[in-house]
Amino acid sequence: MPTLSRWFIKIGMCYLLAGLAIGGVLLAQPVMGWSRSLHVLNPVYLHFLFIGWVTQVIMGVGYWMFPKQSKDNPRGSSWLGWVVLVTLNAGLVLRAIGEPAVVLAPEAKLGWTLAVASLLLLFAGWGFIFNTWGRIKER
Amino acid sequence: MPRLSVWLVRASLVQMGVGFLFGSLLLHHKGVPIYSWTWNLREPHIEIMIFGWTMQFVMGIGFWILPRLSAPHRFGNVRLGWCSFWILNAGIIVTGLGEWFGQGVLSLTGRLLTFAALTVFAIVIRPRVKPLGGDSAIIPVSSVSISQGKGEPS
Repeated sequence: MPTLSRWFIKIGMCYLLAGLAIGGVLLAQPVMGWSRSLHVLNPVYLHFLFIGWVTQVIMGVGYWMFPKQSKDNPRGSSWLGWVVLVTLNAGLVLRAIGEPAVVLAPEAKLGWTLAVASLLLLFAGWGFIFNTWGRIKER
Repeated sequence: MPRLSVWLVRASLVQMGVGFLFGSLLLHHKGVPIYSWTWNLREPHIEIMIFGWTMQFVMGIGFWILPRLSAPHRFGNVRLGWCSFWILNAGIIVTGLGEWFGQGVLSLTGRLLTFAALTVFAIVIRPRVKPLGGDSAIIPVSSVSISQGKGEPS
């Protein structure tokens, strides 16, 4: 398995754990009488599981197992693959910080973090598609 | 990779690209507002990411890697598979448009199309959910004895 795939999958597992932990907190909130403001974590919870875990593991396994593009360039651009890994995770972490902050502390003016995160995530998604497209072919 | 899988996976990548674009606009709008209509993208974003990206991707990979049947129909009923592909994508687009314009009837029609597509796909793929090597690969339980202590068939 290529190193890049291992990074995708291992980081994906971290998001699975973090997502499940946040989900547990959200479920426990009404039972334990914790603050209702914890519900600002709901979008973070959903995106950790759906993008951080599911999509990231698909990216890792896809980079490893999809049909080879060519003998010279079997897995597309390795460089672009690493950039996708970094931008995807930077975007996810930034949104995990910025999304609750924008709601709980609007005076901090951290809206820019979400704008930057949106661009990072968009670049990651489109970068993966660009790098993978040529490998989806009939044998 | 069979042609239907190529189309399913490529279509899922297109849907992923659109889903990421919608999600990116929504996230940007949350931090730095862009257009007032941006919030209308929320439901289509969810629809596209769940059914267009993940579900369709899984269908494409499943059709490719699940055990194959005997020749000549190694992939099962491919024609039905293609029906499933077209109905699924029509369903996602119709649902997305229904959610965008707030037309409940359109959303329901799209969702029913999606349901029909997934049902058809399940019918196509069901015979291929079997042991590798076909029925001959199934070992009757009565013919297997377990070695004491080792837990391995003798």
